[in-house]
Amino acid sequence: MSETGFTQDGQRYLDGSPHGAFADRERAEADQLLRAVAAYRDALPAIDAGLDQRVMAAVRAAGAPAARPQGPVRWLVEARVRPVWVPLAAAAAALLVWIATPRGTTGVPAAAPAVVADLDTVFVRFELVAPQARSASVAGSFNGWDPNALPMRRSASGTWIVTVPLAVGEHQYQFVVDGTRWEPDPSAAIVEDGFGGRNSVIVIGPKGLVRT
Amino acid sequence: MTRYSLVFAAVMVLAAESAAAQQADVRARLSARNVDASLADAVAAVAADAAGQNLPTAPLVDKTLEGWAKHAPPDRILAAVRQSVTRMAEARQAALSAGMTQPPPDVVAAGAEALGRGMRSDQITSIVRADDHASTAVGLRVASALAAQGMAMNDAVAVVTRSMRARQRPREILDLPSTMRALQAQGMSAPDIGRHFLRDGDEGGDRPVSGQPLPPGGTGVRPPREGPSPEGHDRHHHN
Amino acid sequence: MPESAWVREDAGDATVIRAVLAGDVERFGVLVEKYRAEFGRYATAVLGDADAAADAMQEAFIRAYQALGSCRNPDRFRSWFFRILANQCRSALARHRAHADVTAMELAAPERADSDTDRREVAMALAAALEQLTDEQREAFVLKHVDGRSYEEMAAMLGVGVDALKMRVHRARDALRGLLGVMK
Repeated sequence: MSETGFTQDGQRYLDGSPHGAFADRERAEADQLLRAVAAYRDALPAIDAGLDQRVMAAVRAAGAPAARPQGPVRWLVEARVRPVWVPLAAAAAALLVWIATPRGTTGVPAAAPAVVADLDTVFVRFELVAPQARSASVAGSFNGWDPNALPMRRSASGTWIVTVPLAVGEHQYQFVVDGTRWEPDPSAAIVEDGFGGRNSVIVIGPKGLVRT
Repeated sequence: MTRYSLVFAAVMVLAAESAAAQQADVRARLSARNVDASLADAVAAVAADAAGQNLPTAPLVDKTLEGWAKHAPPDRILAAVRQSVTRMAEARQAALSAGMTQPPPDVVAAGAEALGRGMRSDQITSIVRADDHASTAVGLRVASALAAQGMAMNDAVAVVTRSMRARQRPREILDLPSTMRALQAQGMSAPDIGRHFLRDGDEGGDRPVSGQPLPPGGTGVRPPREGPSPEGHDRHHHN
Repeated sequence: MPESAWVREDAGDATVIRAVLAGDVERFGVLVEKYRAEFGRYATAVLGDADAAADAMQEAFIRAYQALGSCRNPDRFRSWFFRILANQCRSALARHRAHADVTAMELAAPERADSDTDRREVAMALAAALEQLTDEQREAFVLKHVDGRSYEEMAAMLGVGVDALKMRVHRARDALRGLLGVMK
């Protein structure tokens, strides 16, 4: 046993189990450990209910789950491609990380995607670097362009993130910053939206993003 | 009334009812998102007209909702909706002339989008003719996406039609845009990517190569930041 | 906690899951709220970062939702979901280790005076010490001491034997004893 190891009785004491006698010094250190844990537990920040909303937004976007998917959940290629060019807007360096999972689905999002070849869904994580923003969301063809349907959450580093299960195929979208500023994703292809603006367009293949 | 005119009258009543139902459906979707009533009425009327031309109306509702969410002026929205109808009609015509007897809604919608991004009618026709119509909508979408990512439309159409003629499955064709993005990130130009996709078919490979070794020195691509693949971790969470 | 009580609690989950699979997707929110409350502390303590914990939980819930049909025994959703979450936490730990900042966790500000400044420092010392444990020791220690679970519960949740878990917890304590002694 190492110098700093508790004895068997010390361990039982810490387990809250019946134990034999052990040294006072060891007992003091055991109690110190328990007090440290109590202090730590009391100080732990709780995860707030905003998580529930983000999960349910993704759940609603995905639609009803399949009662019997076609196989175990399998995670394929996960890759991140950083755009080569510098984004025009200082705040918006958006990256896409695509994680593929094959599954059977009967669910179709409210605004049906343009093409569903096989019955596959891919998790797409949208990230927007915008430390000054007070809110951000993704609005697109997969959620009826509703800027409130997919709020993103801000990480400590100022990156806004949301993960959305999307059907394989084409999707158009924009980021909505601070509720009113609609911006395309500079790392994705751009198309005219017909209202004088531009949408980002991505085509998600069943493999997600090909590893470079 | 003769029997024929009775039948005719019955059919007209049914048609009128289904048109009315369809218009009500459009209006319902729009008012669910609080679209202005007069705009909703105008769009519903355009949609009814489109339905009369056998064109899908869901894309019109989607376009309206998009414009409304973005606070575009109503007349702009209406103009965009009318433009969609025009393009859908043209796309449908191109599909018909390519031998498709009943162009399905996804083909018509995909064709309309493609026209909006610079595809020509004759290019739609060649995509429709490239296979037995199993992958038409996918082909149209993917060609449009390749073009949006910077490939010349001619090249994009050639790449897609080649894949379709080679009987690649829709899921393989759908991988082309992300493959192109990966190659672009490595510094390959759009014309070179087009040549690469087309050349690979000649060499007997039945799909474009999905990964290239990085050119020496790389070109600004960060390797994936994530650590070990989650695959290994997930194996034991299945009961 | 006896095994039967553990299982009995899950019976409510099975009803919810069946409703979700039948199309009532909103009911999934019941599970989200319940298990955020139950496992949130675990994720935060294991990852040492509330943001990372929220991310891991979100991923876990979404994966669980997507795979809901393959949860073979809806009565065991709790342990099935926990394993998904534990996997997410392990992946996140692997990613975050490279950038680990020992003092990164923002612990709640003390509401009372003086002695609780000490308490806060002790809490931070433990947070730093936890970073030094192996992933398995950390998981086991958090379950045992931060969550206050019995070894039998832990065994059911992690799918590991009680003896192995005891060993991990004991080693964790030994390591922490040394680390806290040094940091005092």
